[in-house]
Amino acid sequence: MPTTQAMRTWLKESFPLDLDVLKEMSSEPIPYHLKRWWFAVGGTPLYLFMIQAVTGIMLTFYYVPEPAEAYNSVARITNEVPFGWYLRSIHKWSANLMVAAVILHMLRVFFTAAYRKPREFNWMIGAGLLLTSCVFGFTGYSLIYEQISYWAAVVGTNIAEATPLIGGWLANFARGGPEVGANTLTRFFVFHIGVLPTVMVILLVLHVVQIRLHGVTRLRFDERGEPGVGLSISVSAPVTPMEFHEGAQGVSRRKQEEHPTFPFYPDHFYTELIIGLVLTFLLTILALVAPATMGEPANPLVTPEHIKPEWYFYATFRWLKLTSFTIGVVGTMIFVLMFIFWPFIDRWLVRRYPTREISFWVGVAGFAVYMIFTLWEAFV
Amino acid sequence: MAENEKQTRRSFLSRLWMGAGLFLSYGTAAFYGFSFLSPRFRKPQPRRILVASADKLPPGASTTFKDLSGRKIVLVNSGGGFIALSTTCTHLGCTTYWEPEKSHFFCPCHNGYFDVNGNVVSGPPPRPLDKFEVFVDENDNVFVEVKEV
Ligand code: FES
Repeated sequence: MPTTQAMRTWLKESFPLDLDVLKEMSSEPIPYHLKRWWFAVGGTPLYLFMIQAVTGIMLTFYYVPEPAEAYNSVARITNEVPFGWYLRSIHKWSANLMVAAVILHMLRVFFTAAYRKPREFNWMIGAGLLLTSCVFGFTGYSLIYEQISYWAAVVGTNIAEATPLIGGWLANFARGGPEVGANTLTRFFVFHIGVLPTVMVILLVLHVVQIRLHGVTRLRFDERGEPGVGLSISVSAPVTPMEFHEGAQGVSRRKQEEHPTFPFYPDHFYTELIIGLVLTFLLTILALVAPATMGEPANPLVTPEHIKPEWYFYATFRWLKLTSFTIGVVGTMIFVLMFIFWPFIDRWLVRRYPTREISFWVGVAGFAVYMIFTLWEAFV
Repeated sequence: MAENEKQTRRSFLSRLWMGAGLFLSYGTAAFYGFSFLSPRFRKPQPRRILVASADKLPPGASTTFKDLSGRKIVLVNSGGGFIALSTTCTHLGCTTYWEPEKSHFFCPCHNGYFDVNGNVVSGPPPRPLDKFEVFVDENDNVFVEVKEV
């Protein structure tokens, strides 16, 4: 039909896209190990982030960022607005799953040493994404303006205050004054719905662009062809996975044959789609079984006798209980810095002790301590 | 040759001007933005507030009141005089509880303990609880000096 033809021409002129280029861009060769779920966890946070964006925008329709009204507005969303409880629960649970997924993904990247040259920068972006997710969570639960929100904001901004040199300014900047109050809530709100999403999107784009530029890390066991389902033992053996080969860009034809690949679209795309479906299902179950509830409203005069932050801060919280003020705060900061710059520390370690996989054991020890502190805080 | 040199000099100068202009204009804008976002507050002035009359507070008794920013302060008659202690934990700012049966202040956030004089007994707090100056006037009225907000 001429009109359809005209439409097509118009579209083509308005969007002069080369379809072949698009095809090329979307059919990145994926190494075989990505057929294991353990290696496909990287896409999960992206999916959860999109859910958060949608549910978050919807919650903003009813939320009032003002101390006198914040708590009531969240209570209204939870108890009165049709399906408000559901949206709020999905928002909360996807936040929790997102932090968990980023941690799982980073563990995978760590223990396969996929952060090594030339991917150091992408590890740092990834660390930035984890930190952004945590700050997202922190500002998010502060907005509810219940007891834990208020006291988390007090403790959190006081930790920031202990930062050398800029601490005082930083804390006042975050609080909008010397005390946690109305300005703090507005600021946290702006961070939560404006600044952090922007930072997150920028980091995500950079992260994906880097993956596309370097190609997915190739592991040695790709050579064995199609792997079985589930976590193979070779993933946990310390030596093999720490070795990896160049990215897709630099692989010679011979290597290509050694490393069979499959196209991103449709194979991997479908894997992601299935993960997405499972997540949606899981989120709904969680929202039904453990919906988001309301705690006591914030009371600046009384710290509740039993107070705990969200689970992903348990380890830090326990650490702060165990150590003196300076060691507690400075130790946390050093840990975060080491985490961000790990690829460079690792490079130094490898140069110094070329035959030993020290990084692997540092990783095991670090994660074990994190888990012990987290469980300790959870059960004591 | 001379022509060339002139060219380079000109392009250098134009780049310099361009650079300086950009730096100044965006720098000014950044400074305005920075000042806009940094909260400004006056240095709080001290002010005495009347808390109780001394005869209502025999040795061993205590009373609680709020300072001008709403934080709780405990006023204790220790027998040897009045002590006014802030209940804000010196670790990371939570509110401490006075537990009379154990005679200590307890901070639930990271398990900090302070004794009746505000000194750290155990836990992570780095220094004693903040003290406020206490004045008793000729009519036996007890005043505590707190900061204005
Ligand atoms: S805030 Fe009181 S012990 Fe940490």
